[in-house]
Amino acid sequence: MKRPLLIAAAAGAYLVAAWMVAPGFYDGFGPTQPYNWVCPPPIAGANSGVSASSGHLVINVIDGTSDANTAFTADGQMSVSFLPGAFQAAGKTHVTVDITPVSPCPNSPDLHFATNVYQVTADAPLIQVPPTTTQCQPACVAMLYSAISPAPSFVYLAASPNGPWKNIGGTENQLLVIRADTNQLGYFVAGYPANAVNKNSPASSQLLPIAVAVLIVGVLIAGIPLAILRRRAAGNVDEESDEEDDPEVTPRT
Amino acid sequence: MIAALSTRPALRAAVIGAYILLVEWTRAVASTIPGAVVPAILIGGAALLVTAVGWPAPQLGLGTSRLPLRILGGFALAAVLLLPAAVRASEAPIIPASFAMVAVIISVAQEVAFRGVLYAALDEAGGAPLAIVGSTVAWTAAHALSHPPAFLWAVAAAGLLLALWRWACRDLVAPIIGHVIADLAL
Repeated sequence: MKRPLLIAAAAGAYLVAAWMVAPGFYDGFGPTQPYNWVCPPPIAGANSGVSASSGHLVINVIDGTSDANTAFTADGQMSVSFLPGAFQAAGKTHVTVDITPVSPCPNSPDLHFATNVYQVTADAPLIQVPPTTTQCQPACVAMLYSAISPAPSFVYLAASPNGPWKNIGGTENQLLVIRADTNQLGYFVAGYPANAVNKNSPASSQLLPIAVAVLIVGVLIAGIPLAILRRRAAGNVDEESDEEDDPEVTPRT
Repeated sequence: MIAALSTRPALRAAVIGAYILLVEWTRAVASTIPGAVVPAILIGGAALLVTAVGWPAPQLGLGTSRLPLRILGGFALAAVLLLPAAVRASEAPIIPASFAMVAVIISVAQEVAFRGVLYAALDEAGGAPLAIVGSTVAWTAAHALSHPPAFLWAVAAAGLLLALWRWACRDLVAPIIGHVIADLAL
């Protein structure tokens, strides 16, 4: 079989294989699973078909001190980590933590939400510690966010799904994950102020089809003169000597 | 040991393959640690590039002859790699600009390691069929820890496409360009 045909067949096989795992091949750094929205924003189109997951954790308490542990949703979109002794758990043998995606989706006139809203509950209150430089004191939340919507600036906390929402900070030392420390549980969401100008515009996702179109047109346009030059060169130069001098690049049949 | 490696191509190819897989799996595990993504990519990329030491550039498919064709081939490969995501752009993540440089580094390093050094070592050991199949299998296995199983068919098909280009055109420049552009986008 001719080598170009083999390459074309491999390209076809790739397109089929990549199409089956929408939205395609990932070798980069984005998550390989689409974000599971409770209420997908318009930019996300239809939902992935997978519901946002909840999470449940039982933390052991020994001599009134709760163990360190992490509660997370099954899809990994939301996690809450607790340091040892994070709960006021005197007299208890365990503390139960639940994470639930909130539906219907809350809104805020002052904020743009970049993630689902999650309710985190526990059957014991967190200890109240003054702000320190210790990380995750007494607990910290980590929220995955979708790459197709603008990146959140902060994590917000509220006692009720209707707010008011309190900014509890936000750091990002892992791609597409925003973290914040908290000494309260309640409703969590990652987002940014409504009047903020976000550097990660959703319009960036529209650049991809344009870029691919430019690549295709560029290959076609540039390929024609290169093919003509190649054909002329092949007519002037003996092909065998050409192969010996430079046996690279051009697919051979 | 070094003498055995220099006289036994199959052993050399096996050692190179094992080293590359070890680097890639270590990088995949390290990348799950908060804050370690960029250092893991930079160190992992450097560790992959080390494999090219001592190999003549032409044997790795590197060179400047017919450069316009190589570049054009790279654009064509990039278009193929990105086409499914472009059609479904609304679902495709775009990597942040701050990751662009590390995306370039790891793309180049992976191409040099898989389609450059490993391909050349397997080619010496068993010819082009072994080089194409072996580099594709290693490439797929290297992504096993960082990608869900459902994605590995697409990863394997991409590896096969790039390896076939490497074989048919004896060129690594186009796979590098195609891989870099694809990783910059996704």
